[in-house]
Order: sequence, then C-alpha cells, then structure tokens
Amino acid sequence: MRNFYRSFFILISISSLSFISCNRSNNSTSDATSEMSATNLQPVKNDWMVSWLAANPTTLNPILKTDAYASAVVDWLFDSLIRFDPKTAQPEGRLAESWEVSKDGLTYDFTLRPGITFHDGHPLTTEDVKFTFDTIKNPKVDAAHLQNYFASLKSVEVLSPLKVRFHLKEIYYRNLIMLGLVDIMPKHIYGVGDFNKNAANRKPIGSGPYVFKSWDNGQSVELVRNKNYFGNQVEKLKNLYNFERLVFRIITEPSVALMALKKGDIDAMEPTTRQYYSELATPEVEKKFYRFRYDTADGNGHGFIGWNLRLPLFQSKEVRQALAYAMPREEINKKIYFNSRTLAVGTFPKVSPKSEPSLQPIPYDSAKAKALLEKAGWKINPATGIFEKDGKKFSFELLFGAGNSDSERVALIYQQALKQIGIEMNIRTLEWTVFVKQMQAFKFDALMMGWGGALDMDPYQIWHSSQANGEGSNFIGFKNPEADKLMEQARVTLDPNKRNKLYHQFSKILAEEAPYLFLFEVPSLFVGSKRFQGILPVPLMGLDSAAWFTPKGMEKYKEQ
Amino acid sequence: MQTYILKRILLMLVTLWGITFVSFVMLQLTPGSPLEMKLMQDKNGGLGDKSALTPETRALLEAQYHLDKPILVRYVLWLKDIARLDFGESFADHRPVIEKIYERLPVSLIFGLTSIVVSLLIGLPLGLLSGAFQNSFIDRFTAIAVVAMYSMPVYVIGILLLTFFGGGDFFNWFPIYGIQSDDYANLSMMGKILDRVHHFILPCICYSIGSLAFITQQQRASILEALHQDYIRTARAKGLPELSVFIKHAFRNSLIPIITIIGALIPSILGGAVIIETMFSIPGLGLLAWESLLQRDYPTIMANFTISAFLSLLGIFVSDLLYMIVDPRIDFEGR
Repeated sequence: MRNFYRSFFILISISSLSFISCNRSNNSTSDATSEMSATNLQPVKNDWMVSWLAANPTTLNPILKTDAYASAVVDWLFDSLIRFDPKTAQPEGRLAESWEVSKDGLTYDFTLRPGITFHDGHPLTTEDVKFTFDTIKNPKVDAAHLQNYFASLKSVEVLSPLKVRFHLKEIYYRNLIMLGLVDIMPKHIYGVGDFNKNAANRKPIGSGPYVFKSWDNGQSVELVRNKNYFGNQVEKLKNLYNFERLVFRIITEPSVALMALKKGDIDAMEPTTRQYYSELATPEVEKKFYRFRYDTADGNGHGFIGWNLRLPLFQSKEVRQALAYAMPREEINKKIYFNSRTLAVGTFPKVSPKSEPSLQPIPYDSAKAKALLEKAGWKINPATGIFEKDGKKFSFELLFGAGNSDSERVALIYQQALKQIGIEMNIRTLEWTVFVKQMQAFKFDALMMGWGGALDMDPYQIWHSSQANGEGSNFIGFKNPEADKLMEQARVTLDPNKRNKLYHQFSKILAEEAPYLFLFEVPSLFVGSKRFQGILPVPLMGLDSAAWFTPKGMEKYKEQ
Repeated sequence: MQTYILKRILLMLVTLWGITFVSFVMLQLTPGSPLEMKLMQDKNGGLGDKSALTPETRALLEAQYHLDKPILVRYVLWLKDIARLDFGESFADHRPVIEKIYERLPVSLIFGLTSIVVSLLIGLPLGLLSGAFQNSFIDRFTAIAVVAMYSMPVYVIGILLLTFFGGGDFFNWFPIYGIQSDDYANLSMMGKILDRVHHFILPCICYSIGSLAFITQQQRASILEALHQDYIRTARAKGLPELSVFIKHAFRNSLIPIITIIGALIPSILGGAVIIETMFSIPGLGLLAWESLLQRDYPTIMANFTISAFLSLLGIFVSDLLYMIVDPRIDFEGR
C-alpha cells in the first residue's frame, strides 16, 4: 500500500475497480479523527504489519508483474529514481540525489546518491539503471504491456557510475513520471540468463526498505526490514518504514478476509462497498479499527458507458445527451452503492485540478431526455411506445464483462429507465477476454466498463482522434479537432497551471459532446487496526502506509 | 487377467489421447488468446490505455508460443513434448508447468482422497442402517439429511461453517484460510500433523458433503435391492441368523455398485474444487486450472486436463479391478 500508484490509465471491468484502489487522495472526506494524528507517541520498530492479498501474485519481478497483488509486495522491495512526496505531490529524490532537465526538454540527467547497495551488498550504479530501462524495451522480455509506454525513450547513456542521461524523442509533461518511477533492478542478478525465467523472479533482490524473506505459494509472502537501507540516512525517508516485518496473507475469498480482519489476523484492508457499509458498520468494529472513505485527486477511476460513435445511431450530440439524462444515477448510487459514490462529471475526478470546477453531474431528467430526442428528429411510435426515426426504432445493445452482479444491476436499472422513455436496450455480457477482443475490433453498440486512476493522468490515449484506429484506447471513435489540439498542447506544456487550464477547456468539450455516459467515481475505502498511528489520508497517495507506526506499548508482534 | 489388464491399459491410453485432442482443439478455438492476456495489466483484466501490440512484438510472441502454426501442428508439437513427459513452460510466469502442478497436486489429492474416505466411513454405515431399518426413524432422518446435503450449494455450506466455527463471532475453533499456520516450519512432527488436520477439517467437510450424500443414498438403495434377492430368502430359509444373512450375503453383494461409484467420484472431486479452494484459500489444482483458463495459459491448462483425465481413468480402472475382487463371478477375460 505504499507507493502503489499507477503511472498510467488502466481499463478495467467495473467489478475490479474496488480491488485496485491506488491510495491517492485529495480532499479527504476525513471521517478520520484527530486521535490518529497524534504525533507525540514514540514509535516502536519491532512490530509487524499484516496485509491482505486477494490472490497469489504471478511473479515478484517488477517488470514482468501484471497484477496489483505483485505490486503491493514489490513496491517495498525496490526503489525508483524519484518519488512524489505524498503530502505535497512534488517530486523528490529517492535513489537519485538530484536531476536536471535540458532546456529543450529532451534529455534528463539523474545523479544517484553514493553508497547505495542492493540487498546482497552489491553496489547500485547507473549500469543497473540502464539495464532496467533496456530490459523494459527489449522485445524478448515478457513486458508487452509496458513497452509502448516507453516508446519515446530513445536511449539511456551511462555518464559515470553515479550519473546517467536519458535521451527522449519528445517533450512530454509525464516524462519525469515515466523515468522516475521505474523500479531499478540489479543487473548482476537479473541480467544473467533468460530474464523471463530468472530464479530471482520468485526470490526478488532489490534495494528497497524491505528484504524478501519467503513466499509460501498461495499462502503468504513475508518481508523483513532492510537494516542497511540507504534511506535511514536520508532526512525525508528516515522516519518511514517502522515495521520489522511485513506479512502479506493470501486469502482468496473477500468475506473470509473480512473475518480474518475481525479476528486480528489481518491489520488493514480495502473492503468492498458492501463490507464497508454493512458488515463493518458496527460499534465493535469501530472500537478496534479506523474506517474511512476518501476521494483522491488522481482518482481510483470511474465507470462509464461508451457509445460507438462510428454508428449512425450515436452520431447526434442530442441523442447522447438524452441517453445521459435518462440514467438514474442517484437512484443507483442509493440502491447499489450505499450512496458512497461521487457522480462523475467527466474523464477527470471532480476534485482534480484538471477538472473544470463549474461542471456539474448530469441529473436524471426523463422529460429533458425525451425533448432532446425529439429535437434530434426521433418520434414516439404510438403503437409500440418506442422512439423511431426513418422507420427504424431506437434500439441498441449494451455490452460488458461478465461476472459482476453490480454492473448487471446497473444495466438492468438503466434498461428499465430507458424503456420508460421509449428506448430499447438489450444487455449482453461476455467473458472479459472475449469482451476486450470485441471492443478492440469496434464490434459493439455501447459498452460499459471503467478506467482506473492514474498519476497525473493524460487523457490523450483515450480521447485523441489518432488513438481511434486500433493502437490506442479511443475505442468509441471520438474525434474532435478542438479537443485534439488542446490535448496536444497540454502534453508539451510543462507548467501544471497552464496545463490544467487547457484541460478545463477540454473537460467542457467532453461534457458538451457526451461521448461517454460517465457513471461514478470509485472512492477509496479503508479499514485498519487502531494499533497503528500516522494513518491519515494525505493529498497524493491517500494512505501512506510507509509512514505508519505502532506506538510503544501497543505492539502486537514482537520481533526478537 | 493379464491380457485383460493389458487391454485396459491400451484402451486407457487411446482414451487419454482422445481426451487431450478434443480439449486441445476446444481450448485453441476458445476466443481470446495468450497474446491478448499479455496486454492485461492485472489479473482482474485491466488493460492499459497504451496496451497495443506492435506488429513486431505480435509476430515475436506468436512465434514464441507457436501460435503462427495451424492447430494440428501445434497439437503434434505438444504431443511430442508430452511423450517425453514434458508439459512445457507456463505462458503466465515462464515456470515449468510440471513444477506448478507438482506444487499443487498433493494438496488436491489429499483433500480428494480424504473426502472419499470420510464419505465412505460415514456414508456406508448410514446407508446400511437406513436400508436395514427401512422407514424407521433413522431412515427418515438420513433421507432428510441426504436431501439437505444434496440441495445446499457447497459455497453456502462453506460460508456457514466459516462463520459459525471460524469467524470469531460464534465459535473460534478452526482456522479459516490456508493449509498451515505461520509457525508451521518450527513445529514438531506431531505438531505439524495436528496443525494440518486443524486446517483440514472445515474444507474437508465441504469436499465430502456431496459424495457423502451420494454414497449414503446409493448404499441404501443397493442394500435394499440385495435384501430382496432370492439368495437372501434362501439364506433365511436355511435358518441362518439374521445378522449373518445381512453381513455375509446382503452387505457384500450391496458393495458392488458402490465400488464403481468410487471410481466415478474421482473426476468430480478434482473438477469441483475451485469454489472450495477459493473459499478456504487452498492452493490446489482447481484454482490453478481456473486461473490458467482465465489467463489462456494453454500449457498449464492442458497439463491440468491431462493429469485430471489420467487420474479419472485410473480411478475407473482401479474400480473395475476391485469389482473382480469383490465379486468372483465377474470376469472380464471373455470380453
């Protein structure tokens, strides 16, 4: 749960959104009480923290890993060049002591801190940095999911054992994030033999604050504190990492994980919405656990229904707006999500500085929906009660990934609401892999899914017209020259304030064009043991568990 | 006898080959391929916004996984490896498949076999009693129990067991996840066994409940049938005591159908484990098969199919052999 933030957008079926929350926050709704911020307490360093993994990680190699469970473990074992201060959201050195960007914005020089070693005592040098990036770009390495993100990295040049230079192909405001947040891996370990099959993929060796201890397949992963961690000498890092041991318990059934939490076998977890608002909303839980919900600036993502804009049916802006007005989101929020969700206003979270502040969520208004449809030339056929135009009735199919009862309920409520105003919507679910294939081939009328949150997100991949033809993620085929220009400009605008202004304009275009029916933003939900102190949602990462500690006398496990 | 066994083994091999062929083709025809899975950012199916394969990467991956070749060629390649007992390398994490199976097979087998033993130990006497005392209280009770066991989905039973006997809200008697405690490595031999058994009990109840109901019912039916046979009347007529009629004549004969059932139980136990394994966080074969299927990890799925098919065929084979031992009249030699 430490710097477990993603640096890019992830498309997910809505079901999984709740499992991939990324712990970044802003404007915490602060159910968090003052007792948690007590700073006069002395931390002890020999307690453990036990967290929950919902599945066995596939691998513990930072480049090959493709699941959130692996990230949850790997993040403690490796270090990146920089990190973002969780409180200020400003970049600061981690492995790197300092860095410099050339005037043209195309070369980045990083200087490493001297004396950093990997867990096996081997010194960490710029050779390891170069190795890591070269490996990501190596097509033989099983990292197809990453390679495109590093396409603009031309080469990595070792200037000296502590100085490294990155050559980039283009100016981009996310270049620092792209280069700075990659976990640096030791060349002398991972560079030997076939990278994909390296023995260290299951016994990782990094430079991070924790050292790998054991991985009992399908049962648990254990890490112990790195006694020689360079961060112990770094002002900003030395008060972090207060646990002697981190245990990750693999419990494949969420309801059992909740029982384990109540029994004290797990110290903290991100519960499902239902667990949070029903099973955990009891006085007994309140006594032993902190429980809070918060929204994040970069968000946990949002769900949406996307209209295939290649089809004549969805060409008209009025029709798309009508479809949005016909969606009873408040009702769904109440019936399904315990009123916990924020109604999404656009592609950026409502609290994000990128989102246009004046945007309001579209309310449910069936009369307005009907009026808009009539304006677009649709007429109710009195015989069937369904809107028709040129002899064709208003009928389409909503496609989504199977296996999630919540999305099914959302779809059913929407289906009813549409029927009432005179639109026929059929529902079809497909297994996720099949669904993705269908989507990439643009074979759908409308689809329902979600985008996960991303650090300082760039909407380009999802909304630029160049991304609508196969390689990108503009599956719905949104093409708007004005929006294109704004996104292109924003990418090369390094001043965040100016960039946000561009994104405000972009947000307005999206709101007007309604290419997606934006559903809900996914909030972060957390429950954790009151044994810990320092648990307070902070602006960037939400919960910075690196800063948690157990005060003297409260420890549960005592490492000898 | 020897020729029969030899014939059976040959037939088994042919069947096994048939099963692998059909499952291989079906698997390859399933929509979605490992290439798509490579783009997924997480197990839940996340897809990055830039996740697209360049044509070069696609070609490289296809060559690596032999996906550029026709299905039949791929099957022959697979068969060649299997003949050398090489199950290949997992697409998901590049480990040898056999290693992944080896980690998990013992867990599944122990649960499977224990559950068969448990259901026999309870089901046989229960079925016998209710058959012997037809329409008595015990018969009625058993009938209700069997219906209940049949009709309750295993996840309901699992959640009830977990909540009442492990959740801490009611009784806190059993661990609720995993197969061993954290300090397992430091325990004595006896401690290790006890620890395993402790973790074993709740899932084992779930594993056994279906087969227990099945065996009880079968045993009841079969003893009733036996009791109505002519030789029972003869035995009674010649003045044998009722107990010896029951045990020597009826019971032994009633066992014959049960033996075939045991063979048939093996595949259902191996196949139906996904839910139980998920619920109790047991790293077994069912969960591996399910995960590999979602990831389109062809080699692991095929290894799973092959091994399960082999074990099932073996079960059927063994139960046929047992047939001959229980009933000397049965002789497959002539067929």
